Amino acid sequence: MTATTARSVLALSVAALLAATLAACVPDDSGNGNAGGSTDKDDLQCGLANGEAATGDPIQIGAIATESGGVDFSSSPKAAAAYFDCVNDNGGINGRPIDYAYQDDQLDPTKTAQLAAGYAADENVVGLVGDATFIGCDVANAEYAKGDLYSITGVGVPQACFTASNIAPVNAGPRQSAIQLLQWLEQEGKADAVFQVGLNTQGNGDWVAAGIIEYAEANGINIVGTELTAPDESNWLPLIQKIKDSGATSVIIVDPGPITAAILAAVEQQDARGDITWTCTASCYDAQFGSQVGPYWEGFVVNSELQLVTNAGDDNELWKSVMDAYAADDAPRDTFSQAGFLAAKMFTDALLELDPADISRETVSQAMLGITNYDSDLLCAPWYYGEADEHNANHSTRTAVIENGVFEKLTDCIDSGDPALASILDREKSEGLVG
Amino acid sequence: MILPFIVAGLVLGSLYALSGVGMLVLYRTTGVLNFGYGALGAIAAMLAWQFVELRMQPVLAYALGILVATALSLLFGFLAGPFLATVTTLTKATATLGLALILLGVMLFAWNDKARTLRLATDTMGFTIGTRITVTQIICLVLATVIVVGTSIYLRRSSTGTAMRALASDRELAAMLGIRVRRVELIAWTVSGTLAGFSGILLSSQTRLEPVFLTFIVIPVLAAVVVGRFRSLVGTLAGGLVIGVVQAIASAFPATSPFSNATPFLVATIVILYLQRRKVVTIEVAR
Repeated sequence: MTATTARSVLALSVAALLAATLAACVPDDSGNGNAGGSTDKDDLQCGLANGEAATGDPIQIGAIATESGGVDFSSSPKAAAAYFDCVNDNGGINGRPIDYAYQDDQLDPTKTAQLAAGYAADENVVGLVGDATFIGCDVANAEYAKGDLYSITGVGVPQACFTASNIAPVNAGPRQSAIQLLQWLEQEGKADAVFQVGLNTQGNGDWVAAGIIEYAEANGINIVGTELTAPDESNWLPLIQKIKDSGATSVIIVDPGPITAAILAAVEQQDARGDITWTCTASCYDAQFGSQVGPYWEGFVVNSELQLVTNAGDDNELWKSVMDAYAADDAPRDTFSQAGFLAAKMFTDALLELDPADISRETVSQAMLGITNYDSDLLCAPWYYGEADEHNANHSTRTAVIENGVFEKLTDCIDSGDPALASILDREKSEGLVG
Repeated sequence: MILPFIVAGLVLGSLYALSGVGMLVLYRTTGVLNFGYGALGAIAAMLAWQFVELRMQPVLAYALGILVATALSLLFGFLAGPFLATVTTLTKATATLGLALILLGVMLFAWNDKARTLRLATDTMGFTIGTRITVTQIICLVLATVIVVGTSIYLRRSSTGTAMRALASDRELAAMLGIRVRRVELIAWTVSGTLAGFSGILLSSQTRLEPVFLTFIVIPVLAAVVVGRFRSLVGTLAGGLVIGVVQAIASAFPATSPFSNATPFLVATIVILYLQRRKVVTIEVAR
């Protein structure tokens, strides 16, 4: 027995060694979608930008993000943390440093509720910034409302994140992302027969699908098919067959990136791309996506809820340079990261208006709610908070296309025509939240 | 119209069967029903993807992935085998849940939730007869059949195969007859790990390259093993193919497609009920 074991171990190690030495490398011809920043650490314009470390009494800020459990949204709070570190190196909030930490809800709403209740009960926590919980907006908002605690959330996905009183996301959300793809197809004259694909999830997939149908009905667009699949679906042939049979001229996919990649791989194996225009919401806008789906998908169109990572712009450049200087090398440089960064920047700018001696949950909440007309090149239109039971300030997004395996800009901002935004647009006007 | 679904069903079914054979060989030899089997396949696929991303030759990357799955299976068998031999079948199976969860945890820690695809060179080679058939799909079907036939012959003809069958019948007795029990068991763990690696890589190309998804694919595989009554390799192959085809055809029609994912359980339940039918009759006669 020992001899067998020894032989097996020996054989395995020899094989591993052989493989390692014989591993002739394939040349690296793929591009890299993540351009780094070009500003030196000492020249970063964060907060007061005075180059002096803040030494006063720390201000406690929290966040809840889903990091483990199969979904990782932590790039939002990681970017917020990087920006706050930069602020602390540059005078802090008028001399007081920000003490920022986020907690992982592990894709468990019970845990989200616990963490939210913990923050609400801890009076030292004056605000929440850069949150990104995938499942817990509704339960978290209930706790925040009890404690008069407000969050500038980086990333919200389900409907509950956009219909909350104390949560205001920086991103646009999947519903706006999907509707704006439909608007793009309409503009391009490709919306004759649209097929939509999404997830059969309550308060998320159904909400987005309804949005597409509402917009289509209001604008006379023919939706030839709606296919909402179970999150654990693995056989994409029925879907591909239905798309073929429907006579669709274009397809909008509202699935998470990994599922979309699997669908696209199946379409490629069936060589079923045809003359159809295939598109995906912002969930596919990720630097790795183009190289993963391969050259078959050149010309694939996606939506981006913030400025494209590779584009120019003061805030985009500051974000990249702050990430280079203050975040880990392997922290993703994606839309979520931009969102977390922007949440932290808006929060910092709001707090700098306050008397540093009078920073409490009450004054901070007022300052957050008072954010209006905040311009950034990361956004298409100004962002605002404001007192309301729904928050969807970002409803204007861009589109990108895969060229040589990486995303390139396709169109500038398209403003959402979602009929459900009517009340939000009314309030923007009546309360003067933008412009 | 229905042909593409039958082809897709046969392919997925053959992968269930291929995985099932690996589980069955291990179960028959050691009595361990390995719930970590899907996770072993997942780790092979994820590593193969990682090596390809690191610019390694794809074939070597796949081989390395399979090798790691084999090594992990062997290691688990080596470390846990002696303890597992002394406990009940249920405890054995539960212990492998631990293996599944550990491997899943490691994978979720090592790889983020971004989009990945393992595109085999054979995915885009193919031909059209009524529907498009790729070379990967043919490999799946052929490999499953060859492995089932090959394993059957091996178990029947070779001395190790005889030893494995002896162990399956009575471990103690086999040991007394001078069969090197541990050696035979470790061979079973190795073979099972290799098959897990192969099927993991093929499954990730035909379904989804995600650790959680691939880990839990062990469930439909288990249904195929149930159809094979935990004994028959041919039965497992047939079970896998039937489950795959029924599932795919069910997904073709709007009325049945929402329930297509329940196919493995439906087929397994029907088979269990069918196999129980004699006992029911006996009881009635006895009355």
